[in-house]
Amino acid sequence: VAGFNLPNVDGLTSLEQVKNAVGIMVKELSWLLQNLDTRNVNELNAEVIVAGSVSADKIQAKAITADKIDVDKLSAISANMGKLTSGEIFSAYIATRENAYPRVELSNTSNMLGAYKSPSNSIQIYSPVEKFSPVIKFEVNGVLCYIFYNPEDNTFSMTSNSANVNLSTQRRIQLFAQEGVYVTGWSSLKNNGTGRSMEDELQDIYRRLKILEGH
Amino acid sequence: MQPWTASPDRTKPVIVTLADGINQSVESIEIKDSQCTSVLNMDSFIYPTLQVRDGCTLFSQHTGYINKIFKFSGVWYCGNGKGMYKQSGSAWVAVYEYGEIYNNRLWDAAMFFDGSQLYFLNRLLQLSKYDGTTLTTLSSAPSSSSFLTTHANRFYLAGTNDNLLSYSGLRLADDWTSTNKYTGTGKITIETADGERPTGLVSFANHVILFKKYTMHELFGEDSTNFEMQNPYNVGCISDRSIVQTNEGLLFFLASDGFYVYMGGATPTKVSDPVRNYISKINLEYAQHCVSGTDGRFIYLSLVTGSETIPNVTLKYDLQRQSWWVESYVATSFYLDGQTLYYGTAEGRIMKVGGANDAGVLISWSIETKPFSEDDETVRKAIHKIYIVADIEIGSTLNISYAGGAEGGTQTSTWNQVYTTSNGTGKIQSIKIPIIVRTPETWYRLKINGTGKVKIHRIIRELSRRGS
Repeated sequence: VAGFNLPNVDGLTSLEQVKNAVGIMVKELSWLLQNLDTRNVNELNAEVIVAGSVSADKIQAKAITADKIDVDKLSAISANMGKLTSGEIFSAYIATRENAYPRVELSNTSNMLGAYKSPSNSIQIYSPVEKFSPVIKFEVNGVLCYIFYNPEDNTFSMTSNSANVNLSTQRRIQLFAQEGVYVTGWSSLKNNGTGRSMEDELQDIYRRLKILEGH
Repeated sequence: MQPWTASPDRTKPVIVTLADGINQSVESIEIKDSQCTSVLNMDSFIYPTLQVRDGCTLFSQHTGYINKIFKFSGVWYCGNGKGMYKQSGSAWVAVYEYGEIYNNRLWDAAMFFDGSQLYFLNRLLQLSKYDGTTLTTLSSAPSSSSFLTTHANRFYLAGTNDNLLSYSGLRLADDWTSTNKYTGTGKITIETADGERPTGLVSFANHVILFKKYTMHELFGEDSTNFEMQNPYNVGCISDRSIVQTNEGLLFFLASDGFYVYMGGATPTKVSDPVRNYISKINLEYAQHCVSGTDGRFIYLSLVTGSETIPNVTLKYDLQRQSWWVESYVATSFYLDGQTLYYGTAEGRIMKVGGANDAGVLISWSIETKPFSEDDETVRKAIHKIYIVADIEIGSTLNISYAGGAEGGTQTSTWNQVYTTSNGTGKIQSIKIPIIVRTPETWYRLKINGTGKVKIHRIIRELSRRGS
């Protein structure tokens, strides 16, 4: 802090002493004017501070509270947000990339989670029908596939109007149903190797049984 | 001074006092009547009476050239060319001692602010501290420092080998490395166009002042955030030991061209013109041995002149009358203890000022006046009578001589002793001395000398003019 000592002018009796006192004051005040600090100033307002001249090192760490900040959009703070470890985010559009693919996004307009390889190649989780569970929709070049649950008929569905549904494994596929496994008809249950349906096979068996009865 | 009157008898009394000291600044006929051209062992302590100075007694006998004396915690210390010593009874015990004597070991010392530690160095010794029992070397302090002072809770060091002023941590005289910008240590570079190195360091009028041979630099501020060295005046100092402060707030120091006084604000003023013949003979190669001290009334200045290497003459400056006096002894260090001045000598003695004689020996004194012309240098005059109002102590002597001519008693004519008394009365008396001058002169000089304590209040000369 800028301490200084002005001479005691009481009791000056000679011109030499007056000259000396003036000399001391000139030197002390000249130095002081270049080294004013908090001890020398009672109060200041911000009118004299040059716009844009307060640098970050002049602000005490953690001194600025949120109510002192006026920011309409966080995009005004142009910075890497770093690592967020807690808190909540609402009504925000969040995407891994901006106007580019592939990306994953959380949409604040459709309340939807989507993963886009391209505009026409995506997976979305959304809720188009109120009575359904949220639907997982697969879309590639206009071909649509869905996975969802319908509580009205208590049906969990994997559906598509134009795509095949393939369940495959090198091991085995097991179907366990207490109330049975339903297919459209035996004509729809086909051997992948011969192309023959269960209905074809059953009719062959039926014919052979008929022949055996004739004998 | 009375002008000649138009009285028919052509005589007049001229009354002068003689207590304005020696003046070598101008020709002898130009100085004041109350000044003198030569003086020894007299002063103006009871101005306007001229008196023989105070004597001294032997306080302690040590050895060598005593260049530092002081007290720490009530104990006397002294430094000479071999070491630093403290008094123990009537003996001197080494605090730090070398194996050999080297007179350029000029000691400087300072105490910590609470008086608990003594810090000292010489131009070769690393800063050391001593608590009265244990000596510690402060290895982190700047090496080869010559000068030490304290100011505003810091210690300051400077040396003659570089241009740095180093300061310690705040209230930490042992700390020469910490870096906190408010309380930490640091160095300030003081470079000048003449390339000179520091010659002195002192704390005065709330500032540290660093001297070089031709410049003085004042330190403003309190820490590294606002320290600023200013170079207010082109007046330097040739001996750190010559820097002395008075209770009146004056700082005296010896520059290469004279003895200066600084009050802290105005330009330092040279006060040594009346003793310019001594100043001009200073041996600048050994000027760092010149030393000053004060007893509050007088400044004592010991100079190294001619081819000498340690002080060989001691002068005295009256702070009240601004007059100079010459002493017969040579002091090599000073210390004021209360109201009593002590001084060291080149013979290892520490003397205590006071008393009527010098350790039992009557003081030999003398004064030679200017050539009096009585404000009329167109006529020749003769001295009829001299009255001297003086107080001559019992056992003291007083002699009066006169010589005609502007340089009487020196080159053109010899002193004519006209009065002597071998034993005073101890009372003020007016001594009437008839003088027969057969050859009138335009100028007359008087010489008064003697031994022992004498006070000379005034001299009354009764003159007549001849040949006008």
